[in-house]
Amino acid sequence: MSQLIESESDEGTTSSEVDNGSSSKNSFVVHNELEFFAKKLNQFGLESDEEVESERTTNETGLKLEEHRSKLLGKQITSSTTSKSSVKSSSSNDQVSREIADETSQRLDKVQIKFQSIGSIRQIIPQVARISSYQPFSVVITFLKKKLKVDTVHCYINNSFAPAPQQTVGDLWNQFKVQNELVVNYCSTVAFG
Amino acid sequence: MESIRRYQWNGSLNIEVLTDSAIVLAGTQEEKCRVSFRIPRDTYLTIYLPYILERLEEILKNNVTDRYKGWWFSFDQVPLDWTYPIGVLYDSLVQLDPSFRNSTMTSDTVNVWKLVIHHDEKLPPGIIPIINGMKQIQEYWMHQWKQACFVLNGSSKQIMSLAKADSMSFWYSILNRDQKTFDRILEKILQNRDTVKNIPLKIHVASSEVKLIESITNASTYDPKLTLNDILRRACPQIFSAEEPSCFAKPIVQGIEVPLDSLILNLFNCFMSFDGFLHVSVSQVKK
Repeated sequence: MSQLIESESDEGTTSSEVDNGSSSKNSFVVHNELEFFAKKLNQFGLESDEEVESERTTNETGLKLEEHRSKLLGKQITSSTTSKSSVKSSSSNDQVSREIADETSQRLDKVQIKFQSIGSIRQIIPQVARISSYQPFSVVITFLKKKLKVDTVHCYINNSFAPAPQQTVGDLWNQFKVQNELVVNYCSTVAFG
Repeated sequence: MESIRRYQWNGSLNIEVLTDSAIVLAGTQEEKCRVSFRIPRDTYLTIYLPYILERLEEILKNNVTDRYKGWWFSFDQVPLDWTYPIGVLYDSLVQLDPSFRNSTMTSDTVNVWKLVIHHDEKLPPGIIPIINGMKQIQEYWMHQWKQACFVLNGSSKQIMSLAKADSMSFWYSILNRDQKTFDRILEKILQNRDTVKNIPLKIHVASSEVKLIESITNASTYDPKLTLNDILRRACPQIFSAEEPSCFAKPIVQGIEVPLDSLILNLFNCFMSFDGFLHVSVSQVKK
């Protein structure tokens, strides 16, 4: 059984913006652009179902953050959502939504995290969660704190070290995964000093 | 290699810190708001906070109650993340093309990096608060080392099994700039440099307009023939393409432009930073 950390609410993204400099600096831009895309979507009369819409917004947030990341890396994105919007007018809605979905699934790679408690702190259930690979590790800490309803939690990878909060989960997963899961051990006090 | 390590250990930066006018007593002369000093490139700037604040105490509106909490530095209004070595921040944010720097500077030129110090209860987003003073900085550094050790050896055992005295000497060697002690303990962590599993690497790509550092942490599987170019092509394919050599981006390590065909293990052995990682700043040269 697994759960989506982002699906908790949009707060996952917000906390990453609070904790992570690279996202937060552009939070205004992202928010403005989100509004713009929401308007665009309405104009093109895509699915009005609220749940789908909210999911789409979340995906778009991810898309924009990912896009920003790519921009930072000097990539000139020609297939950005903006240019997709202009394509929309000449093609059918179905085709466009399929294109967006394809693009989103390509960019929103999710990685699996396994939480293991140390000491007296309770074990969260389900033990496994999935998170987008571009999110910083601070989002995982925020998620755990919220889930456990505690103010502080000490997180370690593979019972060894505490990663820097700004390090992306995807980087950690790539380097330290065990059977395709990133093992995060957590404790209410310092466990590995 | 010995001499390269020594040059790198002694590499320093001239810094001028200006105090944010919001925290200075009204009517203070601007000269008194500045502190100039030289610090090693391979260290955290926050380690020097007590020294800086001691020099500024007289002109501040409020008494300094905590010499770490609530303080941060900025460059061109961009807050600096203290968790990276100061030399890495300089290489990534100032983005001076080293060859251009050499051509414009003579032996008499003093290069000074101008920063601003701020204080507020609420820190800007992205800055990790220091709530436990020097101890927190030490712990952060130790965990970076554990991570690097895990990447190098497949577990953090070597660093976790250090005697308490050794692990304290390791930290004090950073504070006291004692390369001999540092290297002695480094040998215990890196017992055999030729059989490392992976190389701990951080690539910092900064955009010149927004002055934002995007860091990619990479653990390249050890292969004796692996070059920096192979890794950069994999990590930043948009900048370092396979077809043509990049003319607008240069890899900078410890302030030096390094050739793309350098072997990664050689680079690591020569230029490894004080936190166990090899930091590569991708300087996007202005066209």
